[in-house]
This record gives sequence, structure tokens and C-alpha cells, in this order.
Amino acid sequence: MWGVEPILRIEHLRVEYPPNRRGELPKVAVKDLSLRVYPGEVFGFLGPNGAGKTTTMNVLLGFVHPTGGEAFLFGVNVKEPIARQRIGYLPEMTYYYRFLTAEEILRFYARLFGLSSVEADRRIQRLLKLVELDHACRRPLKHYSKGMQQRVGLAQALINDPDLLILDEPTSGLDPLGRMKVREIIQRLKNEGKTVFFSSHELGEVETVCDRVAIVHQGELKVEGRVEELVRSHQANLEQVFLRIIGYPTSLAA
Amino acid sequence: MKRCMALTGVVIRELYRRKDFYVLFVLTALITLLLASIQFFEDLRMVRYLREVTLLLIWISALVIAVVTAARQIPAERESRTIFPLLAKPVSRGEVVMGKFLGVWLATGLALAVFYGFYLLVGTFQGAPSSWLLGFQAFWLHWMMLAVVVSMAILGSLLFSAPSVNSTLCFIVVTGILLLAGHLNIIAGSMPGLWGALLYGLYFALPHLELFDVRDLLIHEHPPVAWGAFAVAGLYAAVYTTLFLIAAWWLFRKKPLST
Amino acid sequence: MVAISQKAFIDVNGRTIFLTGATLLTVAVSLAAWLEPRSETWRGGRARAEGLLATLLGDGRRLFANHFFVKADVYLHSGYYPSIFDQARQACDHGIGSNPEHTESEIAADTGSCKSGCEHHDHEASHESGFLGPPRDWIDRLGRHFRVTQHTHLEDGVSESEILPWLRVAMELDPHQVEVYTTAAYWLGRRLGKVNQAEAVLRRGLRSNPDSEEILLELGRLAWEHRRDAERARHLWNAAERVWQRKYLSVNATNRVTLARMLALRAQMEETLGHTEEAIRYWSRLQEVSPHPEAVARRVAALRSHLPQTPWPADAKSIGQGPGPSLPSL
Ligand SMILES: Nc1ncnc2c1ncn2[C@@H]1O[C@H](COP(=O)(O)OP(=O)(O)O)[C@@H](O)[C@H]1O
Ligand SMILES: [Mg+2]
Repeated sequence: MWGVEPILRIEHLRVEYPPNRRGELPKVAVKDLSLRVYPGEVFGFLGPNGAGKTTTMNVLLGFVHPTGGEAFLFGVNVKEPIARQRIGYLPEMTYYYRFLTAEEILRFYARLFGLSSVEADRRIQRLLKLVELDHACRRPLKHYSKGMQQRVGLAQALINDPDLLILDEPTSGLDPLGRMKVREIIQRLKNEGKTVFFSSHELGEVETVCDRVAIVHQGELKVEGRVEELVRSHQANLEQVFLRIIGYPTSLAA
Repeated sequence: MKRCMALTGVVIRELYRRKDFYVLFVLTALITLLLASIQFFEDLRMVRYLREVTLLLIWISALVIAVVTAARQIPAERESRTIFPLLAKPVSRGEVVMGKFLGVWLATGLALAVFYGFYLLVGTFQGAPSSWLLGFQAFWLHWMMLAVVVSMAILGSLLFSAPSVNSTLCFIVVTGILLLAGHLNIIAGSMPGLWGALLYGLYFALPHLELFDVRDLLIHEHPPVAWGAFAVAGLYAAVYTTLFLIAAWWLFRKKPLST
Repeated sequence: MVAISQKAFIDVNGRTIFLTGATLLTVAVSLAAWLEPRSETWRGGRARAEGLLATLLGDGRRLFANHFFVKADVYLHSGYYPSIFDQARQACDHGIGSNPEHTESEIAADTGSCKSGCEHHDHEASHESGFLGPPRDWIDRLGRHFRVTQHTHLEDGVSESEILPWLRVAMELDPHQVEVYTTAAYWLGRRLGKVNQAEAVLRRGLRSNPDSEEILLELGRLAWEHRRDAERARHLWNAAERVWQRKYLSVNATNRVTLARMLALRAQMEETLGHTEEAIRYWSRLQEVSPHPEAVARRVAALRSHLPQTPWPADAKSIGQGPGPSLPSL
């Protein structure tokens, strides 16, 4: 596997946010982070709140420009819009265009990818069935519940049949049933041979679906590896490993 | 370009699903028709004041629609966080600016066409039809002017974070230009020294939106505008629109957007 | 998220308030406009304009009234009008507000028809190079394609009515600006031949301004010139003169004009009716206040010598061309 070209490559990434007030030091959200994700993997990007997971993803999507270092998707620098041609992205929390219907939103995104309208229609029907929204697809989104909106989000992330999915905390704020559905979809994508890069702090679900994980804390990469290797080498379950790494006394937690 | 048109489609859809346009149109139509039904003096033909009032309402409505819609676009995308899934697609920020501009401009153009259609129809029913040629010229020039206004408001939306502040400033600037810009050279001429020179500079730098206002010609049944001047005015608007859009793209290109 | 939804709520609220406000305003304006001509029939109309508008606009309505008065003048020139910035403007001294002057020269020239007035216009228009001057720069040059750059007047006897709505609005906003009534009456009566409506306008003006000698004067003129009702004209002119005497203790440059016009009209009428004695009496009084007493004196002399009425000498055209009510200040 290691001979393969990585699908996602981050090299010595550093991101600083400008200070809120004059005189303060800039806030360093990510420090010297290097990471590789290979085709076909489900990669868990773990860390407590404020660790820098969203910031890293923002760099990958070109929302935030790195202070130092570089990032590549499919070998293309993320500065180029074309790097995003084959990815799907689900933001941490999103609201979609309230005045459009689910169908219209998906068609809009399909056009941004340059899909033909026949192809777009085919995919839209399939995706709406996948996320179980086919019954509500003609209502404007302002009448949707939070869970339904999240499912629209998932559908739009898949509209271009992406090779790499970047999901920022896809299960946060969902009820147990919703989480299970998301896990199912990730599993399904994995079976289809897609690469999934997702962030989370819910360790239980990570353990079941991930091939590899990375744990970041305060902007720094602490550990990276296959789930079973980490568990073996630390002689503990993933949750204990995680807590130990972020400096929480595991004796208490255990 | 296909991606720009996709963005444009969303903006147009948004405009016709919101109530603003309908409300403004109904208000304009209502006031016009009510005024038309008033007899100030018996059996005398009076249509020009009606044209004046209708055109004034059209100008105000179009300005409100253009500025408010344009000023809202990018801030609303950020506020509702739709900007993230949008920019995660293979669109450049330049395309987003361009798509938003085209969308707002086309949408206001549609609204404007409805307004001018109404204007010409009322004129016909009043038995005092305006020249359709001049009517078309007035519409076209008005629309060109709105291109400058829309691009200005989009640029403003990247400079000022609050859309209300931006809209208010845009209204003040546009109204100021419409009322004063054409006279700045005279004022500058009467002012000696540095201030005069500065005003003269401003006179040449400002987009002269008042050029596009041919309401007086329309109201008082003057002949249409010469096509040469008409074309030059179109080019003039295009230059300023391009400048504003480039500035907007420049600002937006580097802007960090964090979730 | 709470913050966002709260903001959205405020946003929606703000828009609703704005739209509701706009709707209410429209309804109010429309209703007022709709009811206004009707209400006059069921109410005396006395001082009713003082109500809503006064409280809404306060003294600002005078300014607005003036604006609309100017607007009427703009309409007379089909949109050709200098802005406050056009310093080099050459006053168009036959604008809308200066009609009494017209009439006076017409009285003097002894012609009632529009003919001389129109010629007068053409003459003025041709020698007046306009306030615009040569283009100052390329923007100015381009801009002229989109503006009215021809000095013209409405004078086909029909389209003059286009100025009337603005006069009506000006009356509504400031019922005490006498000039607006006399101007409206001039255009209605003399140019459009709507004598009844001209009289109605003057009556309306008189209700708001019971001691206006100018309105009384114009009413009298209507009575004589259009209805040939000498008794009524005399009555009205006497009333006008009484008002004038009560208001002004002595003749000065401003109040002289009205008095001179009053006397000239009266003298003219008496002369036409063959009341030579009376006519001489009024011409003589006019002689005292006229800036061109020689011309008047010649007329008096002619009458005295019982000569058949001679055509009016050309130089006498200038009788009474003092500072008439000028254009409203811009
Ligand atoms: N726009 C911003 N300006 C300043 N600091 C920010 C901004 N966004 C995030 N941060 C800070 O950067 C750090 C990383 O944040 P984030 O990437 O959102 O963490 P995570 O997604 O892992 O919870 C946090 O300490 C956060 O406070
Ligand atoms: Mg996060």
C-alpha cells in the first residue's frame, strides 16, 4: 500500500489566525502537521474540541490559506479550484439555501461540477433515495428538520460521485438512529472503494469504521496509525489511548 | 461560464421566491393607477406628471431591489454558511463574484422589464403612448446603470460586513452621484486651489450614473437618444462595472473564511 | 445557531416592518389623493389643507410647495431647466410665475390674443444662448445626449395643461402662496380657455387668503375679460384696492406693481365701455405710480382731446414692466 500515491497529502502545515485585538499574538490553530491518506482508506481525524481539525479541513478546501506548509489533493495544490473536482465535502454544520428544494439544491451543485442534466437527474434520484428524502424533495428547505438538512448535506457531498470524501464531524448533533445511518453510508462508500477522511471525537464509531486514525491535540499531530496497531502498542482501547494522549490521567478514566 | 450560470440561476430563483419584488411592483402599480384615476382639473389631458411619478417609483424600486439583493448575496452565503459547500465545489472565488453579479443583474433586469412594460402599457391605455424606441433606450440605459450599482454593492459587501451598513452606504452614494456628480465640474470650477483640483479629480473618477437617466426625455416626449452616444454610455457602464468586479474579486480572493 | 436564528428573526422583522410601513404610506397617500377632490364637495374646504399635511411636514411643506411650483416651470420648458449649480444661467423672464407681466404688456399693447405672447417667446428663445454654454469636458458633452438641451415652451394650447398637476400639489402643500393660484388661473383661463376652472382656482385661493388683492384682481379680470361683467369686475377691483390700501401705507417698488395693474385694467375697461371720465381718472392715477408716466400721460391727453382711439404707441409696451413677481427662487 505504501507504494501508492497518497490521495491527500499535507506537508508541514501551519495555520495562524490573526489576533482579535492589537498587541495579542496570533492564534496558532495548526502546527507543523504532516499527513497522508491513501486511496480506499477510511481515515479518522480525531481530537478534542479546538484541536484544529476543522481548520485543517478548511485548508484542504481552500477556505483558509495556510500560514506555512502545503496541502495537496490528488497531487494538486489545494490553491487550485480544480483540486476539488473529485471530492465531496460535508461541513460541520450547514444551512442550505432556504428558498430552494432539495432537488434544486442538488441540481445546482451538479451544474457546478459540469454534469449533464440527464446524468444529474439520474444521480439526484439515486441520492435522494439513499438519504431517504425522495418523499420531501419538492419542499423548500426551510421546512426541513435538522436531521433532514444534514441528509441533504450528505447527498450534496456525493453528487459528483467523489473519490475522496471530507466529512467534518458528520454525526455530531444527530440522534442515535441518524448516526447509525451515517455510519452505514460511510461503510457503504468504503465498500465502493471510496476514500473517506472524517473528523470526530466520538471514539466508539471511529473504532468500528476506520482503517487508520490520527489524533491531534492543540494543533499538533500526536499519533497516527492503524487502529488495531495503536490499541496493541498502547495496551488499551482507543478511548484510553485518546485520553492519555491529550493528557488526561487514564488511571482515573479507566 | 457554466458554473457562473448555475450561480446566476440560484440568485434569480431567490429573487422571484422572495416577496420584495412583488411588493414594490404592486405598490408602484397601485400608486400609478390611483394617480391616473384622479382628475385634477376637468377634461384636461395631463399625462406627464403621471409619467414622472411612475418613473420615479420605478427608479426607486429598481434601486432598492438592486442594492438590497446585491448587498445581501455574499454576506447571506456566509451567514447561512452555504458558502462552504459552495466553495468546496470546483468553483473559483472569481466565478462566485461573477455569478452573483450576473444573477443579481439579470434578476433586476427582469424586474425592470416588468416595470417598464407596465409603464409603456399604462401610457398606451392613457391614450398618450410614449415612443417605444425611447422607452427601450430608457430601460436599457437604466439597466446598464444598475450593472454599475450592483457591482458596487457587491464590492461593498466585501468591504463592510453588515449588509445593512453596505446597503445604506450604497443608497447614499448612488443618490449622491445621481444628484451631484454632473455638477461637480461647475462646483470645482468655482473653488480655487487644492479643493477645486480634488473635486475635479472626483468628477472624473466617479461613475456618472446620472448620464443614464433619460426620464426627462421620456416624460416630455423628446426624440430618442443618438445611437452613438447610447453605445458609448453602455461602454462607460461596462468599464466601471468591470473595475468594481475586479476590485471585489481581489478582496474576496484572499479573504479567509473559517467555519 | 441560536444567534443566527435570532438574527434571521430580526432581519425578517425589519423587512416586514419596512414593507408594512411602505404599504401603509402608499395607502395613506393614495387615499388622500383619492379623497381629496371629492372631499371638497362635501366640506367647505376652508383651511382643510392645514390638517394632516401640516402636521406631517411642518413648515417644510412650504419648501416642497416651492419645489413643485418650480417643477411646473420645468414642465413649461419640457424639462429644460437649470439646476442650482448652473450659475451662468440666464433667467428665463417669461417663466411660469411671470404671467402677470405678460398680461400687463398685453394690456398696454392692447392685444388680448396669445399671438404677441408667442412671438415674444420665440424671440426670447432665439437670442437666449441657454444656461448650458459649450460643453466643459467629455463627460459633459456625452451627458448632453441624455438630457433636454433645447429651450422650448409648451404653447400649443393643449399641452400647457401638463404643468397644472404640480401647481395643484403646490397649492395643497402651501395654501398661502398666492402666486400659485394666479399662475394656475392664468394658464387655465387664458391659455387653455377653461374660465370656470380658472375662477374655481381663484376662489379656492381666496378662501385660504381672504385678503389677497392679487387674487381679487385676477377674479375681476376674469369677470371683465371673459364674462364682460363690468359691474362684477368693478366690485372685485374695488375690493382689491381696499385690501391694498389697508395693507400698504405707501407705494413702494414691490407693491406698486399690483396697484399699477389694477389701475391699468380698470382704466382700460372704462375706456372700452366709453366711460371716458372714469377712464381718465384711472389713467391719471396710473400715471402717478407708473415707472413710465410719459406714455400714460400721452394716452390721457389723447382721451382728453376726444380723439378717436389711436393704436397704442410702440414704446408704451414697457408700461409697468417693473419687477414683476419673478420666478420662484430656486
Ligand atoms: N476564525 C478563527 N479565528 C481565530 N481563531 C480560530 C478561528 N477558528 C478557529 N480558531 C481557533 O483555532 C483552534 C482550532 O479550531 P478548530 O479547527 O475549529 O478545532 P476543532 O474543529 O478541532 O474543534 C481553536 O482553538 C479555535 O479557537
Ligand atoms: Mg471542528
